[in-house]
This record gives sequence, structure tokens and C-alpha cells, in this order.
Amino acid sequence: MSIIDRYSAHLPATYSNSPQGRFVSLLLVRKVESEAIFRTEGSGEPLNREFVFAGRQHREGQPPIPRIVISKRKQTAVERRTGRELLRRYNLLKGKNDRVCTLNTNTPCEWCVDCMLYGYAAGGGGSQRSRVITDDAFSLHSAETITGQRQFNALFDSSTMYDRDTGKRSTSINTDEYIRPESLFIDIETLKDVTPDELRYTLGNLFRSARYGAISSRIGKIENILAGVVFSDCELFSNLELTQTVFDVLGDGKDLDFPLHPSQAERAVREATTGLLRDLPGRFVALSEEEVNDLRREIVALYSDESALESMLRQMTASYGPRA
Amino acid sequence: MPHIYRCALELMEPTFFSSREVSAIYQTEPLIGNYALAYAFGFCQAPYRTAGSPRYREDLGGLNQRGLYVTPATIQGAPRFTVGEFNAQTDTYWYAMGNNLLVTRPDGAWAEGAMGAWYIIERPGEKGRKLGVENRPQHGRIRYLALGNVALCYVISEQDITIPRYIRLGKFMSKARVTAEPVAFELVHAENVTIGFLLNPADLPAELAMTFWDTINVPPTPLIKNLRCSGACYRIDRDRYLPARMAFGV
Ligand SMILES: [Zn+2]
Repeated sequence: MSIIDRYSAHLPATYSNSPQGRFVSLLLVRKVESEAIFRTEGSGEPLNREFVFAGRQHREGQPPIPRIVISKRKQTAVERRTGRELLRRYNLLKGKNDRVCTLNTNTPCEWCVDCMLYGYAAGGGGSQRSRVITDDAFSLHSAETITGQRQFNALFDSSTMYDRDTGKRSTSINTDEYIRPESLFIDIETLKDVTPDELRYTLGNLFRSARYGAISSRIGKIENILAGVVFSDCELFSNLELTQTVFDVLGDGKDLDFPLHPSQAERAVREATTGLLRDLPGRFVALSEEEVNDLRREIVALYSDESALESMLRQMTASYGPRA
Repeated sequence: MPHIYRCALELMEPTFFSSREVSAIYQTEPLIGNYALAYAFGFCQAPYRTAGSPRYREDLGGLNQRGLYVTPATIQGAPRFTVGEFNAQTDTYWYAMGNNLLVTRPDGAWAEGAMGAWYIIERPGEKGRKLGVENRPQHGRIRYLALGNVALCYVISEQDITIPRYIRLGKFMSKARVTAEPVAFELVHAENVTIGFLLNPADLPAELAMTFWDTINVPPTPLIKNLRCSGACYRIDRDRYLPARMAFGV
């Protein structure tokens, strides 16, 4: 029996407009595989960072450390685009006033899987709240450990710094701060009141999204590793607490080795989660490591079976109502 | 007698409420309104899909009937902010940033900008269909309340209730950790006391005599601070007062 079917009692069978307070928390280790840049300002600006305590068991007087932050909005933006490519391929993005459902414009179709799951605000006044909620993700290591400086030059057509016609030298020399490959970010993605198929779709988007951050077509390759899944009737702890607890599990208060193998971080996420869940005032079920791996295999199998995937996407779209 | 809970909200992420807009800068005032808190605590629930207008009267009115009230939250100490930039981006390969408009073009068509406006051209030679501007910002700067700010509010309830450990606040559903504890109090007639934290003036009982206060103009309703008043109050923590019989004035 598939993992999602086995746990389907924790998920609503169909979409309902009224919140029911059923949560699925996806605990992630996001592993940077090439240089990456996450910032909220333009080129030349430093990376996003926050000064926070390294661990939760910080000793009195210990100074906070800077951690690099991947903003929550940068994360879902990428993942929903991944899903929308699929919907577009099967013609499941609907039209409205002759214009096809497009992100961030006044033409959400208000009825595709993407609109229904990740939300929209229509110009006319209606809106759908997102049921996929991300949090700012924090780097496991301190910013000093995982960032580097890179000088970049803008070359002319001749691949040199000189313009042959004018003899002028390129003035576009700049330094950019970047995140080093093998950096790890700890993250929780929270799904609220999603159906079994919506969970499959969200996981598919997570596993298939690979490019995040600035200049995303060339750099910013990230692998999303699912370290844990928790079904619950309330919100879990925050990303910051999880990151700090993972830090405590892995180290003895000093900064961690870099690079750190992601499997060590995964194990630490599971251990930290078990500890943090003890304080949770609510009901929850956490998948075992084996079940998480089975779940991943289940999603990979679904996404490699074109007809099964297409029929799932069509059924999901139809389930939202007569317009589909 | 009701139950009173003191709730400390610790922001675990930068948090944004659009409380003030100056050209392309969207600012969060250092406070959290109590309507937003009533939803965030899950005391009432907004549906996932809405037709646009808030349902304060239905939702908050229901809380009045249950004898449940939450005050606005006051930031403890000096508030700290984080500033960031945002840019709406579409999922098409080609797009342009117009004046308050994100331009995309349908397949087989062309988009052209002229005199600050954008046109979609379907057939060669035609002037094209003019695109209207959008009624929401496409780019700008955001001032968030920074991670780590702590805000304090009070929940007053006829029934004993469980307050969630974590809530989501603001436009981007930022996570906040809640530490709630019941407080001991007594109902007294207070004479000329000052209430240092934020209150919603629309929610105060008519019989409370108010001398002076500072007004903070924020949507959806203005709030007040440093209210000097006389009347029925709950005396909490020995020298803190909370007006009695507050209810959502919707
Ligand atoms: Zn849509």
C-alpha cells in the first residue's frame, strides 16, 4: 500500500474552502550544489543574513552568529513554476478573458491546481489563500563559513574586456558574495488541508525544483532532500528552532565542520524533530525514515509514469468544480 | 470572572503588515492589530477563497458572543526593522515591467510599449489592445518587523481556552512563537490610571471615562496608546490595568 494512502486518514479527501486545521510538515535539507545567491536587493548587495544564536542551548554571553537566509517567497515561487510547467503541458492552466493563467498578473484562472493550492489575488477582488506555506530557511553553518566573494567581469562580443571598435575597457567589474557549494539549509514546508493528490503534486514540485535564487538560470542549483514528514493538527516549531536544534545535535557548541555530509544533517533533523515534538501541544504522527524513503520512491514512480501523472492532474483539476 | 492570558509573541521571521505606503515603500508599523490576531490565533477562521471584502462583522461578532477578546499587541522595547526589495515576476520566458503592470504576451502575439503604455498586437499593422494597469504593486521596498521582536497582547476569555504555540502573522504568513500564561487579576474601579500598551478604541466600553491618549493611525482601525482613564478595570500584575468589558466594536 502506498504511504500516502496509508496516511490518508490524516488528509481531507477533497478540497474544502473552510480550513480544517490538518497540517503536513515537510522537513527539508536544501543542499546547495553550485554557487548560489540569495538576496533581496540588487547585484553587488550582500546576501540576506540574520544574526541569531547558533544553537538553542546557547551559553550566557555567547554572541549570535550570522546565518544566510533563503526568503520564503523565493522558495514557493520556484516550486510553483515547476508545477505550472506540467499543468501547461497538459493544458490544465485555464483561460480567462482570452488570457491564460499567468503568475503575478491580473489573470489568474482561479481554478487550476496551482491557483487552488498556492493561491492567487485576482484584480477583481477575489483571492485564494495559499495552502503551501514556507518559512525563511536558515543556513546550518554561519555565514562566514559558507560564503565567498567572486569578481565578475562583463565581456564584450570578442570575449575580451576590450571593445574592438571603440578600444574601451569594460567597466562592469564587480564583486558578488555567493554561497559555497555543499552549504545546507534547514527548512520546513507546511501544507494545510491538502488532499492526497495535492500532497503528491507538492512533493513532485519539491523534488523537481532545482534552481533557486538570483540569476537562477545559470547558478543556484539546489537539491531538496526530504528528511521527515509529520502529520499534525497544529503548526510545528519554527525553522529557526529546528535549525538551532540540529546545530545542537551535531556539535558541541562550536561551528560545524564544512562541508558536512547531508545524511548527517538529515539524521540530525530527525533527532531534533523527535525532541521538539515532545513539547508540541497537539496530536501528530511522524513518518519513519523508511517510510520517508518509500514516499520519495512513490513520487518518483508517479512522475515517471506519464499517463498516471496526467490522469492525476486531470482528476485533481476536475475535483475543484464544474468550471474545470 | 473571565480568564486572562498574557501572550508574548516572538517573531521567528521578518513580518509584514501593509500599514503605511509612501510611494513604492510599504511599511509595517511596530504593532500587531487585534483583528489580525483574532484570525492568527484561530479564534475565528477566514475561508481559503474569499470574494474580497473582509468579514469582520460576522467573524469577530461571533467572538463577542463567545466572550472572547484579544487586545492589539505592543512591541516590547525598541522595535527593530528589516528592509527588503520585492519584484513581481511572471512565469513566462518574456515579460516586461511596465508602470504598475507586469506585461506578458499571449502566444502568437507581440507586445509593444509606447508612451508609457503597453499594447498587445495580434496582427501585423494593427495598433493593438492596450493593457490596463494593475491595482497592486509590482515592485517596491518593504519594511518588515525584524525577526526577534517580541510583542505582548492579552487574551480575555469567558471560557478556559488553549492558546496555540505557533501562529502565522502578516501578509506573508510569518511564523511567531507564542508563550501564553494565565495572569491573576481583580476587578477594580480604577481612578486616573495610565494604560501603557496598545488598545483598540473601537472596542472600549462606552462607560470608560477617557482623559487623553496617543492615536496611531493604521488600517483597518486606528489604535491608541498611553490611555489615561477611569472606570472598571482588571488590575493585573499589581500595577497594570486592562479595561474591563472590551469587545470587538464591529
Ligand atoms: Zn490558475
